[in-house]
Amino acid sequence: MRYALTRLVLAVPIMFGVSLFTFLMLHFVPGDPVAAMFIGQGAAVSEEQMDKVRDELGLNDPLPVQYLNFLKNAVRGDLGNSIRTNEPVSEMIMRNLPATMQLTLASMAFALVLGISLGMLAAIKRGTVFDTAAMFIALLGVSMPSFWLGLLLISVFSIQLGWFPIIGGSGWRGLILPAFALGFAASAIIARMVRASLLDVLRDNYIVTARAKGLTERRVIFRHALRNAAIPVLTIVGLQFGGLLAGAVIIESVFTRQGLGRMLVTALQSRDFPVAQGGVLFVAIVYVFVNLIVDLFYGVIDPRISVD
Amino acid sequence: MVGSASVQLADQADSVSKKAISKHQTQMGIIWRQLRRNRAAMIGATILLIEILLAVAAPVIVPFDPYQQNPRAALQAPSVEHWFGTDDTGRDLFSRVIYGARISLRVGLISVMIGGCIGITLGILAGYRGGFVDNLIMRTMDLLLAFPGILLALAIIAVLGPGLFNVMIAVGVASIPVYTRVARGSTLALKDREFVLSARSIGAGDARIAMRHILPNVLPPLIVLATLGIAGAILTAAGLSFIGLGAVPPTPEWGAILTLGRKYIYQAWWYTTFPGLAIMITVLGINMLGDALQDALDPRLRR
Repeated sequence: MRYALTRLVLAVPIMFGVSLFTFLMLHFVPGDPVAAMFIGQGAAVSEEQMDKVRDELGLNDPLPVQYLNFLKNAVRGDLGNSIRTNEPVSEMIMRNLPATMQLTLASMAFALVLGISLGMLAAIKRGTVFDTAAMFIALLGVSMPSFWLGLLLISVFSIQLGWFPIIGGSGWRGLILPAFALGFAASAIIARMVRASLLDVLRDNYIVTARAKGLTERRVIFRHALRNAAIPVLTIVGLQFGGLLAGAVIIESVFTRQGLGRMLVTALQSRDFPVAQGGVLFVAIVYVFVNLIVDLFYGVIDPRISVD
Repeated sequence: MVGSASVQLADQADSVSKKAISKHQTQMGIIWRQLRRNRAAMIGATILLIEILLAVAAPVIVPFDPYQQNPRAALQAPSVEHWFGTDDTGRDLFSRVIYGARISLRVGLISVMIGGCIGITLGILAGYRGGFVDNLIMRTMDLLLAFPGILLALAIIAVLGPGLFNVMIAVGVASIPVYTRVARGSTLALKDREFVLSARSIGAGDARIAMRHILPNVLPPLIVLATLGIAGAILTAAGLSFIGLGAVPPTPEWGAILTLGRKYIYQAWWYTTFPGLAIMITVLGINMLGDALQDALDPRLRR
């Protein structure tokens, strides 16, 4: 319980830092940020319009006041409005969140199943062809650009075979290919981690004891080894979750799926600052939370862990 | 990926540097022998070498001007004349992909140099000085690490605006924390060693100690990180170009070619196949070399 509380308290300054960082983003824009937002808008923008935006963003207040207002509004869920559509950013996030969560969770599930299977296979059959093959797949996974894998999958399974919709529609059929494309790299990293930590654990004395007791190899692996090998893997899973969430930015574009990623990319392309800022802040906060949960979780499964 | 490697590397750093101190001269020899025996390393190095040669010699060897449009030859399948086929404006894809190697290798190197130089300097500073400086630097790094994957790069692009040069800065800056952590860990392990103390006792200044005594000894694990970092930077930069935030067409950057090619995915498979393959082979080669370097530097894995 003390561990949980300490972890929670430690997350608070990070949250503040993240909010300060995203707040300052606007102020690091070289030159006049408001003018930069209107670059590429096409039509000429009057000075009055720019002043109005400046006023809306509170850019005329002193910096600390601006930050406090930003924080106050953000806590209330007010992240400002889109410069393009005038829609509240928080509503845009909520509208796009379900699709991205679906994609992230589906690719995480896929990455776990494939990663753990490959990693276990490689560790148990260490030094055999299986090991080599599994680790080569893992190497491909970390070397293959996710967006290219996505394009390949579309061209083979959607265009040639016609099994899946080309443009990622709703429902599970539209989810499979993007989840695969996004999760493959994560599965490779998980596979390497599972292999390494399983091999580590398999050298331990209690495994030798378990074998000496005459337990079947399957029981040794599943009941004894896997449980302890899971701890380092869990850390990686938390980190990978963030990677997947951010990776959705690219994969959603490949499959023309709705989602936070597409929202962010569109905002960045058109320099719609409040949307970009809100999106970055939101994803970072979610990531901090996920890692917090992972940390709390392995405080539960591994009683040796505590905060000093 | 780099993140997980860094944790491991920080652990190794101590034992590696111990060896490096006692027999610095032979250290390189040991690593080289390890690498030579590793088949994956040699394959990776060969891939990379060929690619660097192709990139350097690109203007001489490409059969066509990578920018030259030729509407009459649009979307031709691979043939003897056009090995990788042509794109929708009739440009030769083989020439474009070869030119792409120049861009991607440069992007990878520059990004890593930005991230590595800043990150290593901060890491040594944090580890060597300790106290407030250490706290300030490391808390800032914690903060940067709170942004997952390419999100930090995206945030930086939001500030600087799209473009290939800004992508290099963004990818470089986003990788700073990884180098800082490893460099700090190694520095902490080194700074109270006899050779550092004796350097100080004969009156060497902090800057001299950092540059001449600490830096060479913290480098080995960082070289592994940087190698794998080049692969990561190439992937990220291509991805950012693919979503329209990096290189802009008609630049023959691999990610940018893929963006153009996806529109023709129905009729021209070669358009998206070859640039993607180029990215994968490059990254694969670098990763194979990087993994092998990591093994070679890990005394526990020495045979």
